[in-house]
Amino acid sequence: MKKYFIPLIAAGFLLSSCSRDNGSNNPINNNPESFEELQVSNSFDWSTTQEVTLQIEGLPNMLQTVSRVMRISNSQGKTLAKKVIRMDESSSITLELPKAQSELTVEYGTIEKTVSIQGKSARFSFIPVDNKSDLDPADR
Amino acid sequence: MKKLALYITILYTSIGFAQTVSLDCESGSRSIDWGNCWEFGAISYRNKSNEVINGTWTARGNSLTNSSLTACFLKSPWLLPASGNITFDTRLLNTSGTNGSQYKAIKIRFITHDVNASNEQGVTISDEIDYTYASPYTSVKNLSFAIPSSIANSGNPYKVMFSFYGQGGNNRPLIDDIVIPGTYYSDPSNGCVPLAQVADADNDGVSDDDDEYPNDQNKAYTSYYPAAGSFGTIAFEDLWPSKGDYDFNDMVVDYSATYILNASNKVVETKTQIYVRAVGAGVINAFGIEYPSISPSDISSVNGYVHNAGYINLNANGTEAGQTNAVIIPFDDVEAVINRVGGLFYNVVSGDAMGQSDSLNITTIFSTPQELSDVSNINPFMIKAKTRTLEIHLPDYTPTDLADMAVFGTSDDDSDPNTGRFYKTPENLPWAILIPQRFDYPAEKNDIILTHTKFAGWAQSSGTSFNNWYEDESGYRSFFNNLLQQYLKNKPQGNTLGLVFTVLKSHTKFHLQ
Repeated sequence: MKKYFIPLIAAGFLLSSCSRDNGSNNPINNNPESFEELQVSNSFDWSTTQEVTLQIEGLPNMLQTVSRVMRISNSQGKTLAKKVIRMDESSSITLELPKAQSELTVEYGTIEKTVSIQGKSARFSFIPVDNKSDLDPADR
Repeated sequence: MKKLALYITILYTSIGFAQTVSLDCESGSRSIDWGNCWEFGAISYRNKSNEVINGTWTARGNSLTNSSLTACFLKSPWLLPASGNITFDTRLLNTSGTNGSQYKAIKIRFITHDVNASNEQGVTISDEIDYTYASPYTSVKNLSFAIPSSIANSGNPYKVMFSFYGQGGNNRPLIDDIVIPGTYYSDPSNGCVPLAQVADADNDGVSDDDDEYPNDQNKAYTSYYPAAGSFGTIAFEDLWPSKGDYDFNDMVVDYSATYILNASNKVVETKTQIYVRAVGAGVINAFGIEYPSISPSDISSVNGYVHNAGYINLNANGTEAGQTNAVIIPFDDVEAVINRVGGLFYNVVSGDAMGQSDSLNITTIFSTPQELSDVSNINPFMIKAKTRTLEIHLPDYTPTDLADMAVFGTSDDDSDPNTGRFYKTPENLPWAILIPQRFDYPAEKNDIILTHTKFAGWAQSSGTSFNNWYEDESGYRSFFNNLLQQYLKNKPQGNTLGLVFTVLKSHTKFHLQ
């Protein structure tokens, strides 16, 4: 029985996938059966990647210069780019990234933050996030 | 040893250390001052007129109702204290909690550095620098306390801790314009621990800890495309200007770039690894890369290409001659970089033996360091049938100077150089696609929209849906493509699987041809 299983699936696939659905009045065929049946916008560029600019907000009021290498990686932890950055300066890094990528991890010394990609930009700040948990609720 | 000692330097300099460490709260954000290594416990910044001491902002503590020295406090960054007085302005918010046994007070202490302690903060030295608020409580007091002689100019880093405490009532301290004689000595990039001397053997301004090339002043670190240790794929249809069968396997090229940059964030060298995964073509093609933002003279040398066919003319630096922009031809004959083990096609037909390609490592050295954005801007293309004038690019990417412009607009090609439209059919269909990871390309004669089930949804939505169509997620691959790709990856043995492939190949021919 087992030896007939896969051929049966293949045969079923053959029988079920060769008919066209011509009954739709929708001008876009949502189930094209070949590449040539695709109906794509004339402006579609077929790109799977895009330029994303990581905006880096420097830390104001620093009393000395700190300059070191920033590492930017993807969600798999693989390095995308590095750059020597001064901590007191705002700057940016432009990366060519998959459009499907939704976040970046930024490391600078012991600082590590994961930032989300919104459209074609992401934002990292050297200013720490203050949750104000030490304050009275009215002061937060 | 002497040479090494000379190169050991503190990188955290240049503007010069401040001779006082101060906090005036005028940033209006304790986050900013926290980032500069001040610490706050139940201290907020206030800008109400009845609370501000000087300027626009003042620090205010929670209500002081107990004698704990850690309930409401400020800690300075690490500093090397100098001799002189710590000064600050302070007052209470009101008069509550100041009668009888009730009081409000400040104690100033010094925290020693201990690398083994939490946050490297060691013991707290109390030198009885105390002040108990006195009437009139709401009037500003300008206080001044001498730094103990045992601490001043000791050369050791300390933090100065201001603790606010009290007994009874509901009253808050206000404090502003703290000034501490000394040199700032915290590292905000390293958990605010004290600065450490770091080695920089090549003296390029990047510490050896960060420097991937610590003994080369011209190199500091690397960036990658698409990511470290990863490949992207460029997949071509080669019948341009006529439409193809859209299996996108006529030539499948994996591509990985490593950019080596100097301490000024400029690219000095690029290492490009290229690997031909598949050839489903009846003609012999080649592969080129144009750098639209780089001129040939920006490049000192190119090495690692394989040229055997004799139709590519090079400049002395290894770039292609006759081009305005830098063009590199990694191989001029795909047959020279693949190793066939039989069959008309290469790694695209199930059941055929799999070949292994040569891995090409193209090294490009720039005569002048370049911007990463310029070097990473590439325009890859196929040279069709070893005919140098026939180029096939990604959609809307421009041909190089050596392309035959007369071919555009012929057959199924709907290019319009006047509008920047290139390599598209009238239906806007392309001849090449780039995938930012290794692409599981379709087997021979398998239309990509049938093998990759979300491709059509992606294309017809102009990329707004299924922008990860190429990934191997559940439901993203058709049944037969999964089997074929598994075969291509693992080369399984067995008659049952072979029968399935035979059936599916028959189906494909019936369906698409």
